[in-house]
Formats: sequence, structure tokens, C-alpha cells
Amino acid sequence: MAPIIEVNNLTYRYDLRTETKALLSVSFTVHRGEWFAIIGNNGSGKSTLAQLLTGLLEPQQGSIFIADMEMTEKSKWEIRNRIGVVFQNPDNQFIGSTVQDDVAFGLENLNMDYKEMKKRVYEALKMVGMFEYRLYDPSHLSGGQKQRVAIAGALAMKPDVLILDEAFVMLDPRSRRELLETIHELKVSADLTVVSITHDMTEVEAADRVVVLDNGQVTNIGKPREIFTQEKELTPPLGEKLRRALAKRGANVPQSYMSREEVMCWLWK
Amino acid sequence: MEGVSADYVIGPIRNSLVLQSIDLQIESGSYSAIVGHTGAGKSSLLKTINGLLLPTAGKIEVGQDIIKQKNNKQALKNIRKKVGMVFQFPEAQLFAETVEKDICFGPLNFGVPLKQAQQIAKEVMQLVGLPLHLLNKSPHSLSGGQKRRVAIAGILAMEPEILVLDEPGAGLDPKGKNEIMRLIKSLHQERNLTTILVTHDMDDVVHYADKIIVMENGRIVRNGDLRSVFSDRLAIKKWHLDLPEAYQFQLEIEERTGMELPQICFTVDELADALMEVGLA
Repeated sequence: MAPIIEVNNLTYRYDLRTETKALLSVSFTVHRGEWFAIIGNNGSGKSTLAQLLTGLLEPQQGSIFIADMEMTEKSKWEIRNRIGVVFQNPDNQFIGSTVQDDVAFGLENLNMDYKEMKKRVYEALKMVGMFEYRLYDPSHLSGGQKQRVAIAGALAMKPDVLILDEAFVMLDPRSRRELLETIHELKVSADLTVVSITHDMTEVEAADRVVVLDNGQVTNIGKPREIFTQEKELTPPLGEKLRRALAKRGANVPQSYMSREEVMCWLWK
Repeated sequence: MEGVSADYVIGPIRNSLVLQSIDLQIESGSYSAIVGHTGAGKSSLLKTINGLLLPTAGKIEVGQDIIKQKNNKQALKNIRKKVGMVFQFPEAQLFAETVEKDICFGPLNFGVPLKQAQQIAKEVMQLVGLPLHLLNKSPHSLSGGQKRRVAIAGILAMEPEILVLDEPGAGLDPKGKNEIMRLIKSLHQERNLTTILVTHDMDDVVHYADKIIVMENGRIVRNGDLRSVFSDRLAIKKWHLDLPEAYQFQLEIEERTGMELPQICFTVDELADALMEVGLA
């Protein structure tokens, strides 16, 4: 698999007068078509990393390559045409006076022809289940609906990379699962690369690989199974939680990480 | 609440009924969770409780005070003092140059003298578990979890009897979220508050609340205690509600193994106990 994102020795501090670094020598590679989760507590540097990846902040040291282009003041506009970004609080991201205008905003900037644009907007709205709301004023929507519109806006751009910065927090679990599935399908069918910055362990379990940030540094990187085994502080997904609870009660469960399905099979044995 | 309906009018557009003939009683001292699919009217219902959204029909009684369609000036003033509202992402509303000024803003507005307001600020800082030296800091220099606490402290400073919270844990890391939820529960108990929580996290509902209010399309479709509501699986499905994750897993296990566990398990610990009890593990 070819790398689509390469982050090399990225260091960033907000206040140059102090030694406190928001990010310190962060390096990782994301492959095309990979689902890559970035986790860490509040203040671990996740959001700083997201802002650097989207060109909202400029690297002070180190470099970021996305789709073979180095992120610079000059190249960031072109790179942004290749990435879709959805942030946590959708209220900060609305521009259009109707839902469909809002979703079309990014496309308008590309000088796309009207027919193609309409098709893309409708498709994206259908994907997130907001097609019926296309003529609504986005400010009248609920938090979860707004977030779906923001996701549609990103998907309409048909990006190579979708960056989700806590993008699902306002959604109810069902919509969250449905959207995760939709995005997963796109990952497979359109070779979409997904970078999800998240606290949600179900989302982490769905990832191909996970990087753990702590105090601005990468402390671990690996498959979800490895991460949940090694990082004792993390609240594991349900299957593993139950395995541990059963082990504590003296049940004869296997000693290592188990997914939900594995626990189920073990119980059924 | 009796027969409360409401909608939003912005410019020439009237949104169709956001709330439709709602009848609801919330007991003093209870901890209720309001749940429902996105757009069901949960946040709107909260807004009617302190008069941010006025009813187009019906009335809302909060203690002695009544909100109707019109002429609410005194009632609203009383009610807003009694009802503390913590909105989604409340830290977005922090505005003053220091944490202390931010927390004092509410009490000062309700006529509390400065000295006393500052005393209250100290008390509520401790209540929400923040160190006092942060009082002189800018709220914007704090972490997400700390800001959320400051915002909640600002509400507590008004000494509300009713605490209304819209997704108070959203956007915090799991540890920060647990801390906020536990903090709210202990405030609820210590201060004898009536607490109303909007959430879509059914695990929060079963861990913290004692009553559940289900909304759908601007109506209340169920109001009852947790076990009776969650055991009605057909209805849960119809309302597009999720189950607490342990209970969901319990149902899958029961289906796969053909064995039934003795009771509904809301937590992983309850589920582990039940599995041991029936000899599945």
C-alpha cells in the first residue's frame, strides 16, 4: 500500500517563549485506503495535529506530506482540495442559508458545473440521510443533524482523505453506527483514507491502525487489538470489558484480548 | 407541563410543531434523562423549561411560577433563577477575562453583592473540583474539561434548584466525561437538585438517571422507570432508541446460546454476574 500521509518529526508549540510543546517529534505514515485512528486524552495534542494536517497551522519543525505534496503555505490550498475535514462542533462550520447550499459550498469553489454539483450534493445528502432536509436552514437543525450536514459537505468533495475530528460526538449511537458504515463502504469502494481523531472506542475498534498520543508524543501505534492489550488506561471495547469482568470473577476465560465476537463464541462453546 | 406546544419562527418561516401537546410531570428531587432520536425535540423541550422557547399553547409550571404564551415577565425572572441550564458545549459561552468574573456574572446579575458573589465563586469552584488558583486565569487558557467545569460552576453559582443539562459530556475524553457525569450525580444528591439530562448515551441513562423520558417527533411517548422502559423491546425499536451496550450484548448472547439470563443487565458487571450465575461462564 502506498502512503498517502507521511508525518515526519512534527513539532509544534503555541507559545514560543515556553518549552511546553503541543507536539513533539511526531511521526507516522497512513496508507491509502487505510482507516487510521488517533487517540489520546484532552490536551494530548490531537487537535493540534488535526489543525496541522489540514493546514490551519503551519509546522514549525518537521514535515507533512499528503498525496505526495508537502504541506506548505503555498500547497495547502491544493492539498485541501484532496481532503475533507469535519470538526467536532458543526455550528462553527456553516456558511450556506440552506442545507444544500452549505453542502455545495466547497464544490462552488472548484468552479464545478451546475449539473455535476447538484448530483454530488444530492448524493452526499442521501449518504448521510439528510436529503429530505436539503431546503432547511442549517441553523434550525439539531446538533446531530448539523453534524451529518457537515459530513455531507466533506463527502461531496470526493476527497482522497477524510479527516474526522471528533465528528460523531453529537450523534446518537445508531446514526453514528450508520455513518460509520457508510464511510466504511466508501473506504472500500472509493479507496477513501480515513483519519479519525476520536474518544469513541467503538470507532477505534473499527480502525485498521491506531496511534496513541500522550503529552504531544506518539506513545504507541498498532492494531486496535494490540493497543487495547498494551494500554491499560484505555477503556476497552465491550467484548474485552466483559472478558476482564469474567476473569475477575474467576471464570476460565482466555488470558488475552477478545473482541465481542470472540467472547460470544467462547460463551457459546 | 400541560399541553405544551411550541415552534420556532424565524423570519417568514415557521417550523412545524417542534413540540406537540406535551404533558409532563417531573418530580422534585428526581434525576430524569430525556432521550430520543436527533431532532425529536429534546433540546427544545429543555428550552421551554426556562422560557427560552415560549409555548404557543399550554403552560409550564416550575414550582409556583407559570409560563404561558404571554405576560411572563415576573415568572420568567423567577424561573430563570431557579432553573440552571447547561447547554451543549457550554464553554463556548465563557466570555469574561477571568474565571472568577465569569462565575460571578450570574449572581451579580440577580443582585447578589460583589463580595458575596466572590465567596460563592470560591465555593462552586470547589464543588466542581477546580483549584482556586484558576480563579484569576482567563477561562480560555484552560483545557476543554476545565472549561466545561467552569461553565457548570457558573450555573451552580446561581444556586438553582433545577439543573438542566444538554449533553454535558459531549466532546470530552472518556475520563473527563466520566468525571463530569459523576460530578453532576453527586451535586444532584448533595444539593438535592432536580436534574434533567438530555443525552443519547443509554449507558449514561442507566448509570446516572432514575427516570427516562422518551421523545419522538416533538411528543413524549414514554415516561417511566428504567427497567420498565428498556424491557419494552418492541417500543424501543419503534422509537429508534439504542439499548445500553451491556444489555444489547446480553440479548445477542441469549439469542446465540438460547439461554435466558435472570434479569436485564444494564452494566458489564451485572452481565458478568448473571453469566456466572447461569453457568455460561
